[in-house]
Amino acid sequence: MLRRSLRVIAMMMLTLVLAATGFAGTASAQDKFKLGMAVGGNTCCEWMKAQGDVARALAEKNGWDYVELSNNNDPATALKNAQIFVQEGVNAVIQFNGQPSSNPAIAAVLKAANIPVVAYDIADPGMYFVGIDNLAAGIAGGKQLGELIKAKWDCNPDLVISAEGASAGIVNEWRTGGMRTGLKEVCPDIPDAKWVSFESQGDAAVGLPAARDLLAAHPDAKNMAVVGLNDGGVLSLINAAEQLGRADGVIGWGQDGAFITGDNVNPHLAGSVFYFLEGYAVYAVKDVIGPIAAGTVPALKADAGDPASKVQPCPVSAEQAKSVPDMAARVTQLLAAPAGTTEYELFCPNK
Amino acid sequence: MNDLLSQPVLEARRIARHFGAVIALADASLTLNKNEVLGLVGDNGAGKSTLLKILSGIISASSGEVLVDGTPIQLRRAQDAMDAGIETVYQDLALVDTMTAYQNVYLGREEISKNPVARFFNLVDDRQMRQRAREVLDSLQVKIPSINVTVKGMSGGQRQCLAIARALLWGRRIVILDEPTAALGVRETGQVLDVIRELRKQDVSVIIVSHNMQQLMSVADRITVMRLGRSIATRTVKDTQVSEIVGLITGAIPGDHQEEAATLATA
Amino acid sequence: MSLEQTMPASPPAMTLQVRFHGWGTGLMLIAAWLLLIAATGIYRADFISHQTLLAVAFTMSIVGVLSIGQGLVAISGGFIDLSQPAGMITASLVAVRLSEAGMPLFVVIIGAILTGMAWGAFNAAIIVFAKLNPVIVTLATNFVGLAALFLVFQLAEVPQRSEIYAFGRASFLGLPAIWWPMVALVLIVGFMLPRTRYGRRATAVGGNRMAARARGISLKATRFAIFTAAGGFVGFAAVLFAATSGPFNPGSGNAMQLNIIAGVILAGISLAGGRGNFWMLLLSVGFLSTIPTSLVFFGLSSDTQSIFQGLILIIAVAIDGLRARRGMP
Repeated sequence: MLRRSLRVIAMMMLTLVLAATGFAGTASAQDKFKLGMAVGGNTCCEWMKAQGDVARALAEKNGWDYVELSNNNDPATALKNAQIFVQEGVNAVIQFNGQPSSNPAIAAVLKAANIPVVAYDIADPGMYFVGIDNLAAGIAGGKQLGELIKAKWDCNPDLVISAEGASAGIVNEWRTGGMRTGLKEVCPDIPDAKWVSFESQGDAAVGLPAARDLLAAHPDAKNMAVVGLNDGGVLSLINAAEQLGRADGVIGWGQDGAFITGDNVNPHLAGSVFYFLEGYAVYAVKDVIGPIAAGTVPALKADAGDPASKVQPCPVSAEQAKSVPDMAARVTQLLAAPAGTTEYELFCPNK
Repeated sequence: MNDLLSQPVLEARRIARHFGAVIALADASLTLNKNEVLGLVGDNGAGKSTLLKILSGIISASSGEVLVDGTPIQLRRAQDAMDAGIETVYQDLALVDTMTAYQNVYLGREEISKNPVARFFNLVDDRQMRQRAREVLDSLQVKIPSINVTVKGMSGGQRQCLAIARALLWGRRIVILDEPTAALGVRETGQVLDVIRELRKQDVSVIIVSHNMQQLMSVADRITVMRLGRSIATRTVKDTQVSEIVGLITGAIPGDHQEEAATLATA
Repeated sequence: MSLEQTMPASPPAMTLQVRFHGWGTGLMLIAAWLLLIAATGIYRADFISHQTLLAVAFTMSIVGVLSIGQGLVAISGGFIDLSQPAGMITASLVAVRLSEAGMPLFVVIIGAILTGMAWGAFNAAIIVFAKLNPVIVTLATNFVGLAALFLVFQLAEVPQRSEIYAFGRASFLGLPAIWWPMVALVLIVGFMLPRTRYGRRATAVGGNRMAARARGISLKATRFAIFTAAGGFVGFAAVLFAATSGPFNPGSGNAMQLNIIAGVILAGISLAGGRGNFWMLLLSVGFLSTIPTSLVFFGLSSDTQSIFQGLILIIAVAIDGLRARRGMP
């Protein structure tokens, strides 16, 4: 309750700050550096909002002006936002665009206005790539799960289930494919027939019926290893198994660490991979935005394999995750840390 | 004029109604006696519908008063008219197609079960309602396929009869019928007129608006004529002819003096 | 003496015909459902299993309770309530907060139901006082509601050590514990609606609002009561949702909408209002909830499932239109 009201108050205060900076921006001269941030705006995920909050805080620390817009999880809105940034006269843009179909157009609009743009996690040839190597993150998580499967079931599960989220496109393939690859590295002899998948839509609640159906269609499977594009997808299978009375044989390993911290972690979620998504702005500011503000534009590195700034994935077991604070606390500690310190450095128990 | 010494069941005195500057009704009076069918006639725009709407509480009068059994009543809503025992049967609005005959007849006045448990749960007593509906329809000699069938497939005459029978079942003493046979064929018209006669036998007084003079002469006891927003004359059917009524409607025959008309109406 | 006595006696077959049509919907649904089960069972014998039964029953439960609310709105002439997702998520959030505070299950249930009713009353207030179309109003309130919810929370989840969490995973007589209240509610509402004064009047308003008003039935009061009651069912569905869903976000309730509307229409509850047998919801929702499970046994992907759901909605609407034209009860 308290947290909720605090959040509402924080929202209102942020609005005031935004208005104030807006006035300040018009009042002061052009010489102040201005950062534009387009958050993802998908209601699914806490971290999308937090990405904006951290960017704002870092901009303030550096004495920059800051403009935040929301892409509303919609490609057309994202493109419109790019045009607004041009009108606002920002000096650089950071965006997270979960619906990347408009990315080439956005890159073109900003390039025409000579505004460099950082893309989180979803690469585009015209944007500085800051983010996780999704494939590497998948493989890292898959290996950890493989070790568990090897120890518990001698690499012989009845089923390996992948909770997919097709709308995430290539990111889904990297993460779930990476997890399968990592698992195979440890347990190479699991026969093809045992690998199955279902569409979880990356949402524990939405994916639940499909997860139950998958379990019903494999009534004899007892020992099940679960991978997925995120913790939510994996949890949908775990919850389904609990409801069908078959959770005892389920070991899941997620991605993104959304449900591995706090006091309500499901016991069947054995681990996850932290990206510390909320803190990406530290990487972007350190390696791209900061140099630009200082007058040296770094070379464009747009490829996830050779990124402008690489976010280190942090695979953690549920046990290790207990030492990791929840997201709100992490943001507070991150902003209190010396400039350039990443969350990986602060919180990853498994470096 | 009136054989009965008892006071009229319904009386409208000098009703007027303005819509802004438009005068829909200038000065209309009528009297409805017990066990009487009163015809209300007039050309289009003479104010019949406005008067009916006032009597059924749908619109309120600008001036004038309405008395039921000699007592003035306030008609602000349709419910006020119903509470005063006035039932108005409209041509098209009467029945819910998706409901059965007896459900329609009892709509808005469903009998709640006598059983205390069922009563607590607001359950209706269908057996009782079916039985009563059947009795009333039989007494009015209304013929319908079954009271348990939705009214959607029923003929216009059957539907009109149901709507009229409802008035009796609800214990109304005054029924207002607006063009009850307008859309009906000969046979069905006869059916409706028979039901109206049956109503009168059962102590229900009826006001009927119709353009069909022959029909009115066959069913009504008296006829009140309206012209240009005023009630201009009232005639007893057995002392008049169609030609006189038509003359009054068109203005070919002048109406009674206004004061006289008022006197006549309350006679 | 009178003309009507010369009329030919009405055919008694009409009663029979109408009666038959009343059960026609049920027979059709049972036939379709059995056909689906038989076809899948022949393709893969292990479809006929307790696990399938559980999977279908879980899916049925929440959709079933929401379809009662949707059906009430439809039968009383409100067409459809598009604000169910926002209402359910709001009530689910209340259920989560109450269970986080350690409240016993019945307090959680009451809290969620009251929240749902308040949401329904809020919708009704706008519809009644602003005299607006319910579909447009609920479309708008759903939009506004979800946006407002996102400001309040991004993720919520009932604690694993709570009664409601256990309730969501318990079973009774071999079926999910959350399934039984859904069945009970459908049976009760299906019994009460045609047999109570309130139910009959609400149905009449849906059938012909002017006729109902002429009988002294208040359209405003009816709409208020129906939306508030429907909100109560949304609130109870929220309990079942929160109990089973795991972590949910403001958008998690959107996916069910299509199935609920299809279930209501297939059950023969007319979107035009005025008719419908709520007991049929057990068949229509059961049938619709079996389809995705069945498709998985046939090895079809989730994309195909969306196509099937869309097709079934179209078929359902077509049947509804046919029924309305023929005037079946």
